[in-house]
This record gives sequence, C-alpha cells and structure tokens, in this order.
Amino acid sequence: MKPIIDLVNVSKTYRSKGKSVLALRDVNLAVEAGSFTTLIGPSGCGKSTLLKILAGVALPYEGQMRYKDRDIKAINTDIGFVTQDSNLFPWLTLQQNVELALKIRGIPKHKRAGLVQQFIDTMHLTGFEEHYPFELSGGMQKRGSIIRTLIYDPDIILMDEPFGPLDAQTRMLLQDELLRVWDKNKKTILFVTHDLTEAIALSDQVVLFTGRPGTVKRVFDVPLSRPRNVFEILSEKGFAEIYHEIWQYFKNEIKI
Amino acid sequence: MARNIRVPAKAKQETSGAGFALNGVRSFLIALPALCTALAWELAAWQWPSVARMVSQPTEIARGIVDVFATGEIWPHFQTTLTEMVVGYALGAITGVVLGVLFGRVKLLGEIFNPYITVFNGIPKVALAPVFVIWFGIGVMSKIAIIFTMVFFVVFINTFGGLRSVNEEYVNIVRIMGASTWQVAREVFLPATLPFIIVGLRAGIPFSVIGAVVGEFIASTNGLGYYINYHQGTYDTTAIFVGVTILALLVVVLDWLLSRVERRLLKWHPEVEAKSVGA
Repeated sequence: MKPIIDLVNVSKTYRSKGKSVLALRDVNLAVEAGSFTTLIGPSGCGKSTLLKILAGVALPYEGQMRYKDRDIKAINTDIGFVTQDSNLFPWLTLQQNVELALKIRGIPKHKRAGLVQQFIDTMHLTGFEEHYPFELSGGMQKRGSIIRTLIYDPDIILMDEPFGPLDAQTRMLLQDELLRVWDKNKKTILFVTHDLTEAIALSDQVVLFTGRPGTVKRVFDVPLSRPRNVFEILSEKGFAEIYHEIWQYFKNEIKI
Repeated sequence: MARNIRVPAKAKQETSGAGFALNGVRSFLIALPALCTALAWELAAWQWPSVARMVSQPTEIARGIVDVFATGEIWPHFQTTLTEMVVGYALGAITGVVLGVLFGRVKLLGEIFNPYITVFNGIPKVALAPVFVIWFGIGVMSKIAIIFTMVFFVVFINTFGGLRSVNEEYVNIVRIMGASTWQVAREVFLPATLPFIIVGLRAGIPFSVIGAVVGEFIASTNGLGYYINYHQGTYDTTAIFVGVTILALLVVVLDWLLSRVERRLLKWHPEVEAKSVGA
C-alpha cells in the first residue's frame, strides 16, 4: 500500500535572534493511511515542528513532503490539527467552537446542528453546549478541541501533545475515548508525545526522534492487539518487552 | 464518564428576595460616603460663609443646575461642548481603529512607525492645544483637533496592541480549517481584538472632555469650559461647580452607554486593562 504521507530528507531551519537554528535534519518517514503513529523524543527535538510542516503552517522547509502523491507547499486543509493547548476560542460557546469548521467550510446552518450535537454527545459534553471555554474544566476543553477537529472529517489528524497538561486520570479517559473514536473511522493519526507509555498504548508504530536537530532514530512496530485497554495497558502481554526495547534507544537520547 | 466532570458554576445574577435586599444595602453603602460628604459640606457652608464662597454648597449647586437648564442659559454651551466631543471622539476613534488595524497587521508599517508612535504618545497632548488654536481658530475646530489627537492615541494604541497579541495558533487553526483571509479576519482577528478596542474606546471618553475643556479654557466664546472659565472671572464658585457637575454627568452617561455595548459584545471576556496613554 502506498503511504498517505511520505517525507524524504525533510529539514527545517529557523532564524532566531540572527542565528539560524537547525530544528529538523533529514527526516525520512512514511505513514500508512489509517494508521496510528506516535512521535516520541526528547524535548525540543522538533516533533512539533514536523507536525507544523505537515499542516503547511511552517513553510518553507527543505526536502520533499508528499501527501497522497502531491507535494505540499501550502496549508493542507485535508488535515486536522489538535494543538497542545486546547485553544478553544474564548469568544465562542462550546457549540459554536465545535461548529466553526463547518461554518468556515460553508455548510448550511440547518445541516450543522445535528452533526455538532452528535459529536458533543459522543464526547460526553451534553449539557455544556452554551458554556464558554472559561466555564469548562481542562479535560472538557480538551474534548471540545478534539471534536472541533474531528467534525470536518479530515483525512489526517495531527495531535501535538494534546494530553500533556491533564491529570493522569483524565488523560487515561481521553486516551480511551480517542481510541474508540479512531477505531470507528480509522483516520490517519500522527500523535506527538513525550510519554513512552502513552505512545505504546495508542499507536501502531512509534517513531523515535533524536535530540536537536531532530531526525528519525528508529521506527518500532507495536505488536499489541486491538482494541486496546489503556487502563490495563501495563499488564498487557508484550507491553513490557516493547517498552524495554524502545527505552534502550530512548534513554540514550535523553542522556540518562 | 460524566462522573469526573466538574460542573462549572455559571455566573448567576442574584434574583431572589434576599439578594434584592442585599443589593439595596449595597447601594446604600456605596452612596453613604457621598451623602456624608454632601451633608458635611452643606453644614460647613452654613456655618462658615467663607466656605460657601470658596466651594459653594450642594443645595446651591443643585438649584443652579436646575436653573441653567430651566432658563436655557446652559444649552448653547452644552451643545457646543457636546458637538466638539462627539465629532472629535468619533473621528479620533475611527482613525485610531483603522490605523491600529493597519499597523497591527502590516508588519513592515508597524516596525517603521512604532518608534514614532512611542515618541508622539510621549508628548502631552494638552500642550499642543495652543498650537491647534493658532491653526484652527477659536471655534469648535480647534477643540475637535485636540480631542481627536487625544482619543486617537488611546484607541490606536489599544487596537494596535490588541492585534499584536492575537494568538497565532488561533490563526493557524482556522487556516487549516480552510478559512479565507476574510474569514480569518472575521472569525479570529475581530473577536480577539474587540476587547482591546473597547477598552480604548472607553478610555477615550474622559479624554474627549479634557480636550474640550482645555481648548475652551485657552480660547473660545462658547462651551462648558468657557462657562466655567467665565465664572472664574466673576468669583462665582456655584456656577463653576454647576459646569463641573454637568461635565462629570456627561462623562458618566457616555461611559454607561459604552459599557452597555461592551457587556453585550464581551460577555465571554474577563476584564482587560487599558494601555496607559499620556494625556
């Protein structure tokens, strides 16, 4: 099968305070359609930059990036981006936030309402439609931020450490919900995290990055079966082995 | 799932009977210092005639206000000052928003003119009033020019700052959703900047009064500032306080109107501080 995303020698240089900083160096990566990929690596290794390049908001870059056999040189609106902070728009209610992409895409009002409600219901946010983001808990904001991306049915969903700031319990619940949503529609997901357990629990393949300038150190297939139980993932058969295997490489990158 | 959801308390308006009584007590407590001051002032003016000469007395001022409106004596002054304020304010506000948006969004313009704006903002605008009188004469035009300058800066700086502080991630999010330039402006820049613009607009209201009064003090034949200044010449402190009170009421009413607009537009927003601007 042809990969949906194919990166060949992608490098990215930033200019910062008059100096040029190499953030990514010769990244080569192929992602299969419908797969769940996690990107893991030390802080500041350029994982987030790679997502921005994929979305087309960190142009220009060097090298080649192909998406469904097209070169991407502008913003790619087939993509959904879930940022690190929830970034729900504070001036919109939860419902309006979830509806925004449909509005921008010119979908008529009467067609939006049902879809919006459906997504709000699946993420257990029913009853909070008219609340503004400041009236929602961190976990609820995060759910809102995920469904406002899912609602326009993007082919690829990029997630930049979306569960980072959440407490451990909420985090697991959201991982579980994300997996259940993903199991249903099998969109391609690229998920950045620095938590190895999370990376393994969620994904089909774990891509390990080196420290800055980041490049792909190694790609690991996760042999765990699906559907997965994130709450019991630690005692899952095969988890310890894959964790140990990846950790042998990962620990060198974070200089332990 | 719902078990771990914290239900946020929506800010509720007290509507119960107890709440109403509390509101009554609260209003009374707020009014109390004013009432005490007025009472002490009144008694002092009765006791010592020199006090009455220096600062008049509340009952006299109240009667004066009724009189000047009843006789119509104040109307031409009121109209002149209001015209200066409204025209100067409107021109300053519109120009401030337009240039604020332009300089805030066009990076090059912002970078070139930022130091100039800092310098001009440092000039106390009232100090320019005499020049405006030379340029525009002693009529309403010179006052409009003064007010324009003062209001322009406070609105401009807040608008500019507001646009500069728009979260770039918001912009990226809607662009990835497929927003056109126009949609980015409408869905992100406008709502994100609105609180700052409104802070600027509210901060501009007292400036419009200051501008009008200063201008009228310097040279004029009409207006509330002129009225106050004229009665300084006749040592009529009651008339001076009548003028001052009317100006204060004018500001309160205008600010109240704008705060109504603000509350409608910004029910989602916590307070924002106005950028400090020299008068």
